[in-house]
Amino acid sequence: MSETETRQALPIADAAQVRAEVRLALRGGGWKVAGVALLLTAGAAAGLITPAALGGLVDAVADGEGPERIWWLAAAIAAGALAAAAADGLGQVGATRLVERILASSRERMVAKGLALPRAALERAGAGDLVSRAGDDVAVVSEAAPLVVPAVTGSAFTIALTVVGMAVLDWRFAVAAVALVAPVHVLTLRWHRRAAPHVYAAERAAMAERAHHLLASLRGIETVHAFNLARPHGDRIARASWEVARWAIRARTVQNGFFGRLNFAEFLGMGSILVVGFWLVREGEGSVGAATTAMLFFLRLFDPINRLMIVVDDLQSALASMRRIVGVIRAGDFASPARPRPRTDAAAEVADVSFAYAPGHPVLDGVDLRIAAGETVALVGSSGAGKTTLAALVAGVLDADKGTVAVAGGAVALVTQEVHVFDGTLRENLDLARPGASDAELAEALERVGAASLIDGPDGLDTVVGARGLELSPAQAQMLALARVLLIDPPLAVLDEATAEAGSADSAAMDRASAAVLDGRAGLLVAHRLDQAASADRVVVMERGRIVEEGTHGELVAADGLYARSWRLWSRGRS
Amino acid sequence: MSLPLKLPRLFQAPAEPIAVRPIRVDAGTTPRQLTVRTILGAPRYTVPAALLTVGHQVGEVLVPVIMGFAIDQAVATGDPVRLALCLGLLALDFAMLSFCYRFGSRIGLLGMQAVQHHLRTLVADRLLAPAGVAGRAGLPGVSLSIAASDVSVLARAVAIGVYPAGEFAAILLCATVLMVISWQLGLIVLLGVPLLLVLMDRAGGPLRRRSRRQAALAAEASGKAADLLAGYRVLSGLGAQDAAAGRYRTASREALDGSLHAAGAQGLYVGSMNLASGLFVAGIALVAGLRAWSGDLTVGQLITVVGLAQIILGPLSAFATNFGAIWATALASAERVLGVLTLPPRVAETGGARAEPGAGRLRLASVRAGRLDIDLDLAPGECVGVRASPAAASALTDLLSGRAAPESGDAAWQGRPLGEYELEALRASILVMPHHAALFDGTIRENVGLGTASDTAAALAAADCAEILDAAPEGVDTQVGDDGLRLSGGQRQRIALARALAQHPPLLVLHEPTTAVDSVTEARIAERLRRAREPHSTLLITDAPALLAVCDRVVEAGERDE
Repeated sequence: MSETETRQALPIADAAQVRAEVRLALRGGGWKVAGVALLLTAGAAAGLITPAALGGLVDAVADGEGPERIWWLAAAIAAGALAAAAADGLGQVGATRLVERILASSRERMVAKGLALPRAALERAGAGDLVSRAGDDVAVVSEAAPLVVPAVTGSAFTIALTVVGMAVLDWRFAVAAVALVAPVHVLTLRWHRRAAPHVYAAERAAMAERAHHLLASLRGIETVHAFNLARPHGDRIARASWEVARWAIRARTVQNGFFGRLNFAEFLGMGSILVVGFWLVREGEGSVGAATTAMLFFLRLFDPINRLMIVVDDLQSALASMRRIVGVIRAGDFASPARPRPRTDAAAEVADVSFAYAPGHPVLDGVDLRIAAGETVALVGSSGAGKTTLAALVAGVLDADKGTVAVAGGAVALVTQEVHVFDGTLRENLDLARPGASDAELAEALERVGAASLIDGPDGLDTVVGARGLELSPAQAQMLALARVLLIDPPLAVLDEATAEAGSADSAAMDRASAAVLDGRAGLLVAHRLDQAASADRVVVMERGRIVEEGTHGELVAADGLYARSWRLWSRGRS
Repeated sequence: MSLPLKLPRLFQAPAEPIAVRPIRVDAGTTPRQLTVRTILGAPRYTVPAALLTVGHQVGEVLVPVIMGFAIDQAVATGDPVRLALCLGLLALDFAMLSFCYRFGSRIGLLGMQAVQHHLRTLVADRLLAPAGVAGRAGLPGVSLSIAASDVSVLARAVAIGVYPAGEFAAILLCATVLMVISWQLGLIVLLGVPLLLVLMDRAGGPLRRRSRRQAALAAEASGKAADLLAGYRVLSGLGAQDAAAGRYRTASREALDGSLHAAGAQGLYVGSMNLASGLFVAGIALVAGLRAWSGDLTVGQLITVVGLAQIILGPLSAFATNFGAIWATALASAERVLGVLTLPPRVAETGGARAEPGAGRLRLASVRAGRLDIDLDLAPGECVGVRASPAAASALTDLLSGRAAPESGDAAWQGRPLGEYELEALRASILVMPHHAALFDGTIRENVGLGTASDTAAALAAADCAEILDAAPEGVDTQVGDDGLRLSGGQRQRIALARALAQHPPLLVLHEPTTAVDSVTEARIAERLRRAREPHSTLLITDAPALLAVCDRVVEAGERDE
């Protein structure tokens, strides 16, 4: 099966869908948005008092006014600073709170919707797509928010009001500043949008590559040592590490170009204000103080403009991530809800089922299978025969293209050879299956699958397992998965080579664990160790998407077919 | 359209890493020492970069000075020649500050990257060293975060050797200019600046704590999301999606709570800083205004003073950040990096002997190690099966790969105790294939051949990989990496076996090499294994009858209490 041809990424939301999501998160909070905008405007307006008063100071000195006026102006500066600090501070807090609430709401909706996506859609997209959206994209937005929100709110209002302030001073100052400076900024942003993204993307890709090589070598450290690969792998990591350095310098070069252009804009602005001021004073249309105020206004803009321009990048990548997050929410909206499955009095009944991952390449072709209540059926066959697909259809995680899969009702639990130990405590790993289960119930489930020793430690059920805690062996992880099935207590359990990775040394323990799980319920067991098949009530042999043999172990061995041949090879030398 | 600022791209990173002064680390090195050595790691880059940042900062300070001068000399007089002169001066100043920043920041980054690369190489080499790493730091997740992010954070300390110099110069220049204009104003700045620095540090404290907490909670929440979705198949198999979503909501709400608290701290910080700097400016304005009124200052000087009072706050806060925040975080990372660099090896001591190339005899005479108790004499060319309990089997593989020494008895290769060999030399003679063997990025051919073996085809055939190669879109040249091929456990195991066979080591030790394959495949592999290993020796630690059946003889390993 070729993965690349059939891969189909999850959708990416458009701007309107992101806006709709934001509106949903802000529902009923319109007055909060208005209040925040008001506070930020007031803060920026109060911020203009300082340069205006300083300009007034210049005029007061030039006009030879008394010290009383100077005291008043200084007091105005202090009062303005107080008002600006209070309004701006409160406004920023409000803005950040609003954005964080939007963020929390959309990431929660995204995870809930993502988990509810139909399995087939996820398989087509590749699990990595969803994991990277939930991990990386949520992280990008969460990290950007505390940087971007204050910069945008603080700067945008300051810039807008400062330009207004300049216009009030004399419209010609504002025209000189805006007409000369704004085009340079627009061009700079455009240039940056052209030059920067691929350099930044390449830098991030180089970082991912570096992490990938590091992690691969560390995970496979036993193999690295066994084959004396420390040196080639060290070299590989070093090459990846220096590649990051080279891209970092290239990214800095782009950034230098960006700031060089901003410096140029600053010079243009300062120079033009000087020229306009010179001309106004000479024509007798303006005072030296007004020219000073204009200059101070513009000097005050350096910092907010830079801050705003710097976060444009973060803002863009946060928006891109937001579109990927909302895309998952939307994918959940459009996916067809799980169809209710027909009922049967058997544990499961598969009738004339066909299935293909890619059109034209059927994996299952007209399969019929009935599992009676309480019966254990073993599914055997070579790899690629369609065993796993049939198991997934019975479990209900895949939907048949043709034919029906009827079940007795209640849940069907599926355990595959893919084990995932969730990052957290043993308790958290188990009670996912039965929220609110008591400690005694959890301990009993572990006990029955033969994993009671896991809670022997001082922390018991609170022992942290997974990536940041106790590393479980494949056999232990699989026992944990089987214990979850006991907690769900379904009428039918599907075990898809659930005990394969454990290795033959642990196979006896694993067999006992799966026997405990299948005790008192129907089971479908995909097995490649034939002793498991031998102990099942019935054996079903698959080949190329069809069932080719069916019967008890004894019948099939006597029939001298495919199964009998495998059995002879398997049992040769085993007692 | 592009602006007239097209410049040659100077000071780019060369293709090969820049060599730096080696950073010395020994058992007694403290995090503080390591941070200082990091800062001083690349003086050939940081010193010129620091000089250039001084130029940049001085240029920034000169902007209001020149503007004040221009208003005094040109605007107030109405002389166009002086106006042109002042504009020229302004252009010159902007050109200087812009170019100084451009190259200062770039050269400084070059130095930082060179140091960072050096540190990362040190850490990676230590983590991959044949002697192994004992304890928690050996866990992939922990060591990855140290080798990736902690090294970056520590290397950021190089900036301490670059930017504060410029910022300090700017503050000094401001104070000097003010002092020249009026000593009272200079005094206000000299007293006010340290006061503001202390205030910033104080006000920033709760913010730093809260934003650290916020970052930790946010990372926790996004980690949780990735973890739950990585377990999607498990969750859907259990029908536990709702329980998982609820669990994520809890983590997300905690992160939100942290963010809201941090937002409050941020608002308080910004507000109090703005208020403090506003009052500072008001004070300077008052004194300068009064002095100007009494005729001690010209209007231009007054403008310079108020301009400087505003601009000095930039370098001031940057100075506080560079010295405070960067130093503190670098120190914390230095501690973790040191934790790796000074780790005890998993193998305490090894010899320096090199094995003779080619065949040899393995002798385990009454060897006891962990749960293992074994007597074994393996002649060149023999294929011997060993039946052992899981604990004894892993003790045996640890022993043969040089990861553990026998507690009693003699373990020898070519007549020399295993402990006397250099680890890599021993492993070149005795290849112990790990039970959970990893495949690495690259094609099937590269994975099997490891760049040295040439007859990968024979090894692949012996490990019964024909079906895998048939299904792979580009045959033996298909990339294995990143699940590109979606190999099942059984397919991985077979390719890993082929890799071990392709190396033709004098002695190959296989530990349960066919647990993930079906019985027909296992039988085929058993059939071909002997021929593939001729004329070398093989030790098969397994319970699989099909494999034991092809061995010359089978040894039972004893199990003992530790």
